[in-house]
Amino acid sequence: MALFLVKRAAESAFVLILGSLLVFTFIRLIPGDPAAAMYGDQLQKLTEADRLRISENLGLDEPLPVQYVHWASQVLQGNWGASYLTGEPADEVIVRTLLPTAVLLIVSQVLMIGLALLFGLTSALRRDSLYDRTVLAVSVLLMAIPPFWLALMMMLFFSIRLGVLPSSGMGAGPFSIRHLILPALVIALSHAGYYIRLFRNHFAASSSGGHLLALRARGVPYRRIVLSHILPNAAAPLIVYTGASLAVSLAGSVVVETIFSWPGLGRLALKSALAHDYPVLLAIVLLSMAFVILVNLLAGLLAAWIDPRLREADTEGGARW
Amino acid sequence: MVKMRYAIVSPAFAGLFLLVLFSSAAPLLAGADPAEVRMDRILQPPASGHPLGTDELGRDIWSRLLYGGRVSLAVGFLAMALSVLVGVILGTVSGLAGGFIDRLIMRVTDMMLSIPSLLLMIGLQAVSPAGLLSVIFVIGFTGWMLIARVVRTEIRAIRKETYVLTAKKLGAGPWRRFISHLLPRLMPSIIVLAASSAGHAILAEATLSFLGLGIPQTTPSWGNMLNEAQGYLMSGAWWLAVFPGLCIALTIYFIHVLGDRLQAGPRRPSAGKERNPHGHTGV
Repeated sequence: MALFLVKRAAESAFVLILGSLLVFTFIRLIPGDPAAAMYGDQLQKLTEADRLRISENLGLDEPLPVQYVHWASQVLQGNWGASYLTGEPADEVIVRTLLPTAVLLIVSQVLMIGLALLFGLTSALRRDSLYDRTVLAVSVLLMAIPPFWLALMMMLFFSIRLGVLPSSGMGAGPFSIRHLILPALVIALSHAGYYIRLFRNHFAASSSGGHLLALRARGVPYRRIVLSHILPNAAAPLIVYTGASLAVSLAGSVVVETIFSWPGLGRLALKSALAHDYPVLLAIVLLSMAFVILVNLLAGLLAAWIDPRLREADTEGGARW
Repeated sequence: MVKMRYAIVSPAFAGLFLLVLFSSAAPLLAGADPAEVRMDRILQPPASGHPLGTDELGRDIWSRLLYGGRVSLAVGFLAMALSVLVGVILGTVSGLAGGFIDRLIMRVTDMMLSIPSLLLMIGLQAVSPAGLLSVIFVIGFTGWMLIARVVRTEIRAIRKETYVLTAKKLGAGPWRRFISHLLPRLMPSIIVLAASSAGHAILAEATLSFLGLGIPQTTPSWGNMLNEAQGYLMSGAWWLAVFPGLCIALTIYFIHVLGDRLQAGPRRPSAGKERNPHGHTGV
């Protein structure tokens, strides 16, 4: 287990470094040079000597690898640069959005996994029945509906037609349930279809096999077979999928937060992209990547702790399952 | 082959075919100029003259849907083609090379999957010039990862098979071995992956355009129509938002059903098929 842990942690660290290289490339891809981005039209008024001095101060005359190391050490110290929009440090702008996003993500994630467990298990136990087919058909339908359209339709129905739920903002305090219902429901429903199918297939695989037949023949109660044989056998992969679903919900939050004016990270990301506020945007990309890598690592370790077979499995990329 | 026939002789394929047909024949079926602004007929609900109503500038929604479909479907198809191309190339190189190159490509794949896909796309869109082409490239280059993984796994499973080694001994070069011995074996998986990739690409285009980071607003696309519709939802103009969304949802639904049929063939949707934990990147 210790070797496995070290191996997986090293892998994750390497992926994180690759990602930071990508983000650094982003910075170099930004149209115009960074000095122009920082000083705007002011740069035109400066003398050639001033411009040289600025790009020296920014380290732009150094070779790229040196620039990368310099940039990375700044990032590690929490210097994310200042927002082009407000002039505040990017990390302060971001920290303000973390609580609303955390609340939204936790609630929608619990809802989504809850739906996937409930319908995945019940329909796997009644394989090929009318109920199973209905659940599968509805799941495909949910997968096809664009999340942003679902959000608009829910808003049209619940906020405008019926007028029962608010359509924007998060109300007073971070826990106004009425404001939370629509955004959380949209994130959960728009990804539930995929996870219901996935969970169903895993439960279907773990609920067939001679050993279960033997247990039934021996008179073990059905409920006990489900709880202590079918569920635990599917647990490890489902933990990994649950970890991976976080990236999905995080992506979904961009759309949903924007539509429902939820003051979170996703809405900030889009606002920064539209306003070309690169320091904030890149910090969000980097942070969410680090977060997703960490969660996937933890989910992988937890799964390996539960199911020792996974520790011996080939840890190379796609062959993991 | 059975699976292919099972997929093509299906309501989903017929539906998809109709959507493509209607969009291709847009000039014949439109009835009105999709760009014609008529301030005397703004925000009209569906009625006889305009079967799906008019938008905030008095443009005919039916015509805009047809022309928008051309853009959305073409962008989706081209982005899918790009994803498949990149995915197959990287997967093949990774699977055949092994060792350091393999591990590097797989870690890059992990890395791309670790950034929530929509964040990656809006990040890339924010630094690229606006236009149709950059939308296609951004969606295409953020959708190859799953394809690369599956292709790599399959290549590793078949590269050491006797017939491949025999072909090598008989003097077939690497290209020939790939094109006539490996690629045909990959085709079934590639077709299934291409279907789900097309669905993903259409959804991604719609989402980006809806957020104002996709296709330039002057070009009608389903996502752009929804972007404009958002502002008129509060005043009760539901027809602006309902019809383009239905088109997107129907297209993706048909593609999903088609993909399922291609994968499973005409058998009951029974016990578990293994899926990749990152199979669903979401938007």
